[in-house]
Formats: sequence, structure tokens, C-alpha cells
Amino acid sequence: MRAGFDEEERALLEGFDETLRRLPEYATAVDDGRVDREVVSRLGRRLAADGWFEVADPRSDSRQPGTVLAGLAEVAGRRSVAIPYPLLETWLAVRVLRQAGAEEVATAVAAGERTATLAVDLLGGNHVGDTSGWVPYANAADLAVLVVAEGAETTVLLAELPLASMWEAPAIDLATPTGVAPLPVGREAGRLDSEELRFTRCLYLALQAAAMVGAADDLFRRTVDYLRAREQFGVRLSSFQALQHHAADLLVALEAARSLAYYAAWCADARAERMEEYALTAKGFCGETCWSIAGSAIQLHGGTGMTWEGALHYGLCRIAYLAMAGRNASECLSAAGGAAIDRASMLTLAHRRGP
Amino acid sequence: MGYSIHMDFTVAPEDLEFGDRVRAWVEANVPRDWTIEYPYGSPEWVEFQKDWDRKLYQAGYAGMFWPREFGGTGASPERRFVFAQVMAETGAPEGLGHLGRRVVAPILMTHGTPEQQRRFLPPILEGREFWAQCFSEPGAGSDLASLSTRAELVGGRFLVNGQKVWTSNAEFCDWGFVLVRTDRQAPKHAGISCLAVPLRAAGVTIRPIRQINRQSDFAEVFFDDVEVPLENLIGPLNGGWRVAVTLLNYERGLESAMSRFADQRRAVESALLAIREKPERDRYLDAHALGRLQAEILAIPIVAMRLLSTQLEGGDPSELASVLKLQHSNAWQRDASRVLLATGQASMLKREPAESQFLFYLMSRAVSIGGGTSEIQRNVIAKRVLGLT
Ligand SMILES: Cc1cc2nc3c(=O)[nH]c(=O)nc-3n(C[C@H](O)[C@H](O)[C@H](O)COP(=O)(O)OP(=O)(O)OC[C@H]3O[C@@H](n4cnc5c(N)ncnc54)[C@H](O)[C@@H]3O)c2cc1C
Repeated sequence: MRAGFDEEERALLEGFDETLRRLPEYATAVDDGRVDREVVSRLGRRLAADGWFEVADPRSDSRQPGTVLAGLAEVAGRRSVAIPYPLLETWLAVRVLRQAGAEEVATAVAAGERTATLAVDLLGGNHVGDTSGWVPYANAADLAVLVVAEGAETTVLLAELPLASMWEAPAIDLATPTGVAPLPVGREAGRLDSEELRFTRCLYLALQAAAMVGAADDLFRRTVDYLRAREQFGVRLSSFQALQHHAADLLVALEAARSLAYYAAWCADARAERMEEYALTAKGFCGETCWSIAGSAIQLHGGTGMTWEGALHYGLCRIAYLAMAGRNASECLSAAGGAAIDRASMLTLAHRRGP
Repeated sequence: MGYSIHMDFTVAPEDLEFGDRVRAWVEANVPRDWTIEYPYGSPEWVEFQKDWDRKLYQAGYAGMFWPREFGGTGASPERRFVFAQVMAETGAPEGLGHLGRRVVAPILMTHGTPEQQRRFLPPILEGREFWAQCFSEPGAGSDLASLSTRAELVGGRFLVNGQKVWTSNAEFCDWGFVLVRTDRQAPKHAGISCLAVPLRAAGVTIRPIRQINRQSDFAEVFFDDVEVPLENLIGPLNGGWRVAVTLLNYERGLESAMSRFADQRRAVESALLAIREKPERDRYLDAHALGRLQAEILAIPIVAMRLLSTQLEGGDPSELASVLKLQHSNAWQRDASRVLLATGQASMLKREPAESQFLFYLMSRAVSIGGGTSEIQRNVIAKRVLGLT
């Protein structure tokens, strides 16, 4: 058992943080609602050059397990202004394309030559009717990967972007412009076996959970700093017990969320029995919890919390987006609860790898 | 799958096998409906619990958390974790001796003299002597250090006078681990000592208090000129506060956190059966409430594993440790009632007494009060972990 990162992994996470700090300026584009092809591909080239796509490439020597990807997703989530790039989607796309045998495209995406995105609702299980569901950065990426599961068959489709038929989804998070297209779109690029589909789904939900934990963590730390700095009634806000207690509860909630996110990532890595339920639990709990932490962060900042400049909205919107995309967080919890009801027993720790 | 798995929540196969053996042993030795058969706090319950303590000893599990030199197993942290988890999941009784084993014994191991260790540890381990914790007083709850029960040195022995309250199982115990004031002039934290007081001694009066679960398992304890020999002083004279703090840490520790949610788990699992009786269309809200509660409950042992790992790697576990207790009570008290709402309906449908589950629920309100309240725990987290002062 080792329920944490080792030194090498921590160094890797710090290295990623360093890359993110030195990314070309992007905040203005987010503020102006102008996250386009140029902004996205510029960021992509830098991320690829530093090797941050290879980490999810099953063919690469620097590939990492899901737990480390979750760590990287958390680090990215902690940037106060969300990075306008389909990072999780690129990781998943590279993996899916490799597994489906679309080697050439996969290599181009991993190298940052082409920007890929993913039809996240199709993969995650949100109800999409006869559409693609949400496709983040559909306006800015070069190609979209659609994972379509029908019965036992899972087809991987590739669609060149932009699609004329696509319309814009509501702008929940300015850093993540999103489109929706009517089906069918794209051409078949290969198939996924059912094990691989299971893994990909679970990993995606766990990575979303970790990304939300990162954003909530940033909002929480900034709130604690604010309480220690701001004075009212001649004393620091941090001396008021009502606020101390609120903060303590937020920390407890945050650590519970973090624990579930990493556990779900590990369950996916380990192909643990019931890995879907852990993934649903993590996504669901992190979605609801991180969202409410974001709300508290705004509350505890007073009027400042409501300002653009206060910059809490970036995290809130990122969390809200992630909580809805792929699979709606509350539905995830209902699904996990439903599984427990059907089985007549609660989920317990997996403890062992699956077959 | 090509890469090695770095972060690793697996438990070693030999520890899992150990867990399976413990599970089988519990299942073979605990009647399925013991909570119904032995109503909480009743004389039969007390005997059942004491019997369980002896069974634990005979099976070699009583010293699970003890080092070898005191007759324990010296088991690895992982094995202990598995043990605590299996006990929680199977809904095994805790035994009347759990306070002695889990809290008093480690204190004696750290602060006791070799004679005290020889005198007190074996009976605790073997389930022959039972301890109660006599800390709280009518005037000293959260502000424990303002306690006023006093012990005076008279003629080579202590004379104890005063009153304790909320003492769990006092009626059924042999020894009280009692915090007393031994120096009334010193600042309040500096004048406190710990005494082992025989609860059957002359001058000790125990008055049970009825609790919201309709039973009386805590009590008032009165001391009137109770004579206690000098050798029953545990730790230094007037150095009792430090000893008490160690005790509270054990009480808030991993094993306690794990065992505390056993009752909750049981209540939820019975609610689960209840929900299954409902038509599909009525299950939606229950499924969500249950999914949430399950997530919160599942996060507890994961935080515990993170805590263990931090400890094993020589890191500082204090942040996660202070999170653990509050996590548990917050989770339970926020989401439980919605899940339990289903219980009443099911008992009607299945003609089974669901009352015991509800009584468990009532008692579980105490998770945010006993062993230090959630508010005090929030104070601790805010001040020590987050630096909010
Ligand atoms: C089931 C049960 C079993 C128990 N068993 C034992 C036992 O075996 N031995 C033993 O010694 N004790 C035992 N206790 C007592 C327990 O430790 C105390 O009840 C607890 O420490 C609180 O003290 P109090 O009851 O005096 O409440 P108070 O301290 O009077 O608190 C009342 C309320 O005020 C809040 N409060 C108090 N101070 C502050 C503060 N500074 N900031 C914010 N809020 C505050 C509290 O959180 C609480 O909500 C038991 C309690 C229960 C419920």
C-alpha cells in the first residue's frame, strides 16, 4: 500500500506546474471569450514540446498511470485562470486512438502536430439524444474523437473540425468553448474492446474529479489567505469563529473529495472490480462538493468574490463545467447509489487488482 | 499493462487473507441479530460485550494494536488497518473493553511505570478488567482543563472528592481513568493529574443517566473521600494534562474512526434493504442520497490509508488526522436522515422490527459530541492546520 506519490512523481508534478507557469499568456483570450484555434494550438505546441501529452500515450516510455495523470489534472486544475486547452481530452484521445489502431493520427496528436478533442458526453454517458453531446474546443481543435458504444461494439469515430453542422453549447466556462453536432459525423477509425472502453470511461471520470479538486483546492487556499489578510471590526476575519468553522468544514470536504478522486484513478489502473462505481462516486462527490466549495469561496470573499478581478469565477465556472460534462455529477451519485441498492450492500474498498 | 502502478491502494495478499480469516471468525462467533437480541445497555448486552472481549483475547485479536513487548501482535499498520476495517464492515461488537484496549493501554505503555504496566495491562488484554474514562464534569466539558474534582495527598495516599459526568459504561467497569486537580494554585492546565481509581471502592457512587436511545449507558460518578494509593498515579504529579491529551488523540485516532462508522454502516445497509422494497419510481431520491452518503463513508478509510502512508514515510500526518474525526461526523449527520427515512416504511412492508436501527441512529448523534465535539475539532483545524487565528 502506498496511498500517495513518491519523490519522483512529486518531481514530475512540479515539473508540470513549472511548464504551466511558463505557458504563453492566455488570460486575456479567456477574459475576452476569444479562445480560438490560434490560442489553443500555441498552448498545445508548448505542452507537447515539454512532453506532457506523451504521459498518456501507451506507446511512450514516459507513459504514466492514471493516478499520476490525476495528479497532473489536479495541478492543472489549480491554475487560478483555467488553461484553455483540452488537456484531459488530448490524453484520452491519444490513448483511444492507439487502442483503436489509428496509429498515425495518435502520433500526430501526441506530438502536438494536431489538436484533438473528445466528445465527452458520449464517452461519459450523459444523455445526448441524436447528437454528439458536448465537444469541448470544437471551434479550436483540428479533430474530434467520438467513442460510440452500441451493445457490445464500440466504434471510434474521427471527425475533422470545424464541422459546419455544429452549434455552440452554452458558454459555462469561458476557458472551454464547446460545440455540439448532430449525428452521424466522422469516419470510423477503429474499434475498442469492452475492457478498454470501461477503463477509458473510468479514467475520464476520475481525471475530471481530480481536475475539480485542483480548482477547489486553489479557491480554498486563496480563501484562507484572504481571511488572514482582510480586516473588519478592527480584527482579521480569520479571528471570527463562524468563519474558522466554515473553513475547517471546507478542508474536510476537500480532503474527502481528493481521496475519492485518487482512489478512483487507482481503481481504473488496477482494473479493480466495480471500478465504474468508484469512478461514479468520485466524479459525483467531487462535482457536488467542489462546486459547493467554490460557492463558499465566493461567500467568504464578500463583494470581492462577485468581481471579475477577484478571479474566483474562473474556478467556479471550470468546476461547474466539469461537473456537467461527460456525466452529470448528481446522476453519477444516483447511479452509484442505485448500484448499491441493487446489490443490497454498500461499496467497500477494493483492496485488490482486478483480473 | 505496460506500466507499473505507482500509487497503490492494494493490500498485501497475506493481509487480505488475514482479513478473510477475521471475517469468517466474526461471522462464526457473532450472532447475526445480536443488536436485536441484546438491547443496547441491557444486562444481557453487558455480558455479551464482556464475553466478546474474552473471545477476542482467546482468538489472539485483543492485542491487534499492541506491541509485542506488552503481549500484543506487533502487527504491521496495514494489517491493523485491515483488521479495523473488517471489524467495522462485519458490524462486530466493540466489546466493553475497547476503551481499555484502545485508549488506556497505550497510555499506560507510554506513561505508566513498569509495575503499573504489569498490574494493569494483562487484565485489559484478557478481558478481565474494564475501564471507564472519567474526564468530563458538570462544569468542565469542552473546557476540560477547568475540571474541579480534586485529589489531596493525605497520609501517603490520595483522597478524591468531586463529580464526573457522561462516563460511558461506568456501572459495568472496574477502573476509572480519572482526571483530578492536584494543585489548585497552579494555572489550570498545570495542576492536573491522572489516577486509576477502583470504581467499586468505598465512596464511589454511580448514577446511570437515561439517554436519547432510551437506555442508560453513561452515568454520573460521585467521589466522596475515596482513598487511592499513591502507586495509582499515572504519569507525573501535576503532569496529567499531557497524559490526557495523548488519550484524546488515541480516541480520535484511526481505529476509533474506523469503528465509529460500523454502526452507521449497519443502519445504512438496513435502509438499503428497505429501499429495495420500494417501487422503482420512488427510488430516485434515495439513490442519490445513498450515493452521497456512500461516497462520504468510503472516503473515511481512504483518508485513513493516506494517513497511514504519510506516517510510514515519515511525513507529518497531523493535518489528515485532525480531518478524520470531523469528516466522519459531518458526513453522517448531513446525509443519514434522508437515507434512514426509508427504514420505517420497510419495516411495515417486511414485518420486521427496524427499531434497533433507528436506535443506533439516535446514538450516532453522539459522534459529534463524545470524545470532543465537532465544534472543538473545527477550532483545532482552523487554528493549527489552517493558521486562522
Ligand atoms: C455518548 C457520549 C459518551 C460520552 N462518554 C464520555 C466518557 O466516557 N467519559 C468522559 O469523560 N466524557 C464522555 N462524554 C462527554 C463528552 O466528552 C462531552 O460531552 C464533550 O466533551 C462536550 O462537553 P459538554 O457536554 O460539557 O458540552 P459543552 O462543552 O458545554 O458544549 C456545548 C456546546 O457548545 C459548544 N462549544 C463549547 N465550547 C466551544 C468553543 N470554544 N467554541 C465553539 N463551540 C463551543 C460545543 O461544541 C457544544 O456544541 C460523552 C459524551 C457523549 C455524548
